[in-house]
Amino acid sequence: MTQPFATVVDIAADIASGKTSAVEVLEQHLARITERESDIHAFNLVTTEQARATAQQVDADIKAGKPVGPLAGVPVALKDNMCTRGIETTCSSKILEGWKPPYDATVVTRLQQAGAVMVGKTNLDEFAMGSSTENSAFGPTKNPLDTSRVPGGSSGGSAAAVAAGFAAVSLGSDTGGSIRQPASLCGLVGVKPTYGLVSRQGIVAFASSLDQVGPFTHTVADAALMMEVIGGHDPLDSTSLPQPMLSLTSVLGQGVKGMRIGRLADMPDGCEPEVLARMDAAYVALQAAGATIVDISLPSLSYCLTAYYLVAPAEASSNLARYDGVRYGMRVETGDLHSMYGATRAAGFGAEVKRRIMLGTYALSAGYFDAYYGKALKVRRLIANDFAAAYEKCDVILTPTSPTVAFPLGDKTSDPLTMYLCDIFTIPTNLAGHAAMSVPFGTGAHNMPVGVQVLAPALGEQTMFRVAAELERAS
Amino acid sequence: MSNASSAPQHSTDLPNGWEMVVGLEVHVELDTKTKLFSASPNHFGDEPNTNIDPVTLGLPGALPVLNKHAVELAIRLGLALNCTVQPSTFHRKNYFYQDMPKAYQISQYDQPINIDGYMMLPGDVRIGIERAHLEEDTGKSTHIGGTSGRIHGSDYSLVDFNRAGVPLVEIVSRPDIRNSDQARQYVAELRSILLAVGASDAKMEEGSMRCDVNVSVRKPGAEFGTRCEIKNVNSIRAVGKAIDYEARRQIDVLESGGTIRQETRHWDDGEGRTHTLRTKEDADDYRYFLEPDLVLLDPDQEWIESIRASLPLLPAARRAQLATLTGANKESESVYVIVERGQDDYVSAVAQAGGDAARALVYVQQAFAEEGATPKVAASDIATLTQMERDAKITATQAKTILSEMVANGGGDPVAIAAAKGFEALDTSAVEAMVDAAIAQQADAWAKYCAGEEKAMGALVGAIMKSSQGKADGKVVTAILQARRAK
Amino acid sequence: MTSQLSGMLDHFADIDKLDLSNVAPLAQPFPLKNVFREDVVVAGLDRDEVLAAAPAAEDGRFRVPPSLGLGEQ
Repeated sequence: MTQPFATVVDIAADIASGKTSAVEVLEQHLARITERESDIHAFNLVTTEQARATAQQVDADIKAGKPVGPLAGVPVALKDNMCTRGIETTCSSKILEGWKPPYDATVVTRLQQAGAVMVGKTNLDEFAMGSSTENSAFGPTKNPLDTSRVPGGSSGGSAAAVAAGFAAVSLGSDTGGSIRQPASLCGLVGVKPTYGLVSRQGIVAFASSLDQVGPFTHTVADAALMMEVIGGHDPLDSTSLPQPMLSLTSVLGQGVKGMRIGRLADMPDGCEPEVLARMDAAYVALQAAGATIVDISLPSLSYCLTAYYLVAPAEASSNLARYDGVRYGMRVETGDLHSMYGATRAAGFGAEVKRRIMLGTYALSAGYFDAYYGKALKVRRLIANDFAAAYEKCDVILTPTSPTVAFPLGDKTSDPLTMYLCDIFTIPTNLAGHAAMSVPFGTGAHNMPVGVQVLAPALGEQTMFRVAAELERAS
Repeated sequence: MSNASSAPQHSTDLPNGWEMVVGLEVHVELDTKTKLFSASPNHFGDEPNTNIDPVTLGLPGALPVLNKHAVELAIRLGLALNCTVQPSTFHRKNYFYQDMPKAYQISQYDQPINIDGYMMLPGDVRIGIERAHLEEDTGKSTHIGGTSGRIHGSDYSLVDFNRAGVPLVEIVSRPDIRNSDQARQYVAELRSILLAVGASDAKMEEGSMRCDVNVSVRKPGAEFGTRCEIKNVNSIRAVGKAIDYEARRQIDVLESGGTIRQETRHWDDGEGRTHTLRTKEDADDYRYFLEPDLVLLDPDQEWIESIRASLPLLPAARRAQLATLTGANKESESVYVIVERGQDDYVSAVAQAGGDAARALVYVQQAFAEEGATPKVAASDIATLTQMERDAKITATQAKTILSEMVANGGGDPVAIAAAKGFEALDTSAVEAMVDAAIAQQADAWAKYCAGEEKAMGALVGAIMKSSQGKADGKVVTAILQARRAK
Repeated sequence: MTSQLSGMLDHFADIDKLDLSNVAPLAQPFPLKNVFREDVVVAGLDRDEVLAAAPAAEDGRFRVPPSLGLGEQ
């Protein structure tokens, strides 16, 4: 699929070589924001002035011959659950509206050091809980390819910002598919790295044992470059893997010859036929490039949804308990402390967040822990074991990223369970802590994009990116 | 703070054969530079909210990273309490309160770092230590308005998070304590161990050591009774008082046909009684689960052994050593006091300089209460002083005077001070002459003394001391009088 | 919302079918251990900046309504 906007790699090269300037690139993006943002609502905040100042600094540095980073002058958008010092970070929740973090997330610092220019904070399902970005307290984001449809979620704003050319690249967070699914629905590359490969420090936690940060880009090469900038050990995150970042940009041309590609023998129901057709095309393309297709099975796949919707809410119920109106964020004043907590949280959280907090609280409570949370952790082991067995037979597994293309706004908001089914293919990766990415691979129903998901074992990013690059060449 | 064995024995037998069963949960703040999970200072008494960072405040996105030195101190303490150090994990204990920033406390739950230790108390009483685990401290609230800063009826509260995240070890004893004396001895001994290994400054008055007490009563041999937990017991004295009060309260309830409710009670030191704080029915469900932001803590054997090798001699061993050196009982007050002050090495130095260890023990206990582990007065000068007294060159009274002067001046040669004060021992013949003079002057007293009335000796000794202007050695005088009577 | 929740819990009963008796729970993806920081002070946050973002502050501290119960310690 061709895309109309310049890539990160090209922008960075053109700015570094003086072919264009950071200010010029920024103004092109700001112009597109001016033109379409009111229809799309990708952003909670556009940081025009800071962006101009940063771009000017980049240009001045280049003019002065100072060394600049690999993203010098590249406009980036950040999901609004990433702490940015002095710049409002809301998680699209009323409870954090107006909150300006006194510190930067590690990934934000790394982007700054690489010379990136932040253009704004993007909309999301409140606290990243959702699959359509309709759960934002500040209104839904629309899919730039068809504004009657959702961009996916929860990182829908970050996906829309790149798909609409508001930023060359964006960062999202992925707890159960929140990068890959919107990437798929907006026709982008989206990466969920191995758990621990990218620092979570400064990312507002949803479910700590599942959350990972990753990029949205137009191309696989851009995604590889972004991963190299944001990835690698961070001493401020105890779960950060103690090893140097993998080189990804160097492997993209290596092809897939001799590689074993896993195909799910028992595909779950509910996939659109056009999506399945694109999957078949993907297998054919990889085979043509020298890979072998092997059938594998993940017997516990159908239980992953349950495990996820117990584990993630359980952790969330604890992670979100800190929004109590004492130290920051919203407070509803009442006569005593405990009624203040209740009133603040009742007014500050939206319905989906409340639903998950209740679910998680229940799953962890005495008397139900073993039946719900305890069992969910065991199912988590089962799916990890399933993957281990599958990766004896294959190097990567291919699945659809989403069972459907982007659906119309309002289509799934009445029944949470229907919405949760959007995540059937993305959730297992998070439960296992593995790597996965979505690569655009043609279009399906309504001429909307279809994404193919490449799943790889922990730290299998190099293999995963080789397959993704091959799919990109074939698409 | 006085040591346990020297404190007055106010634990009394319970009526009608009741026995108390007591367990202690002691929280101690570890003496680290920074907090358990973040790099803000761990420092008492600073301006409110000046030792804060994203982790301390529970800001969105903040992540904990474990302080290695806190772990090392926890292991030091565990080894000193004869615990097994094991692989351990951290859990989240979820509850809402204003001084708990994340609305959960990170604490060790079912896999604590130290388990199965013990402590020995006087009389070879062994108190089991169930566990000594790591956790983080909370912030501190000040209640404004209402009556005298108490929480009930206050208008509002102000919260300072300087203490939030300070590393704590909670030491949980087994219910092996049977009276309030043992409880006080346990806390005092724990404090001495904490100071000895450098784990904590253990200042109960600053809250760096805090006791919760579990009390139940039963008839000996019966099953354990229902226990109550008493909080806010903030001194060793209060530990004893609270336990004695609570045991008697429970006995009163049981003997009047009532039952004990499992509840948390608050010790009011001013009133000298406990109040119900909350009953088990309103206990929170803490929804413990493994802290996903932290990883397994599994200290390798090499590290544990290097910590063990670096442990100093512990108080019990030091008391035994001092007792052997001085001939004193290892459970005597002087031995406890000297070891608690850390002056046992000093006493030993006096002995090594040729001094009399037993006399040195007495001198140091009496004169160096205000000094630290290394008194300013040179050990060799104290050694000389003990020799002068032992050799009867000066009297005990004169020795005390000289010692006071040495302490006041931060040292001095006892021989020179004795000379300057004109202290010289009278030779025995001079004392004998004085004795004979006194017997002649106080014939009545002498007669009574000879008739076996020992008290009558006092008048004779007094007269002799007066005529010698205090220079006669009391022991010599007594010996001469006894010899004269025996003739 | 309660009916939605009970509907979800019914759906989640699907895992009751699994025999999990010999399965060890997996709470974290990878078995890392002994991740430490050194005991070194790093400059923290500015009190005024933090208190300015608080819903209510007084006298260098966070102000909250009175509690009707007691906390933990």
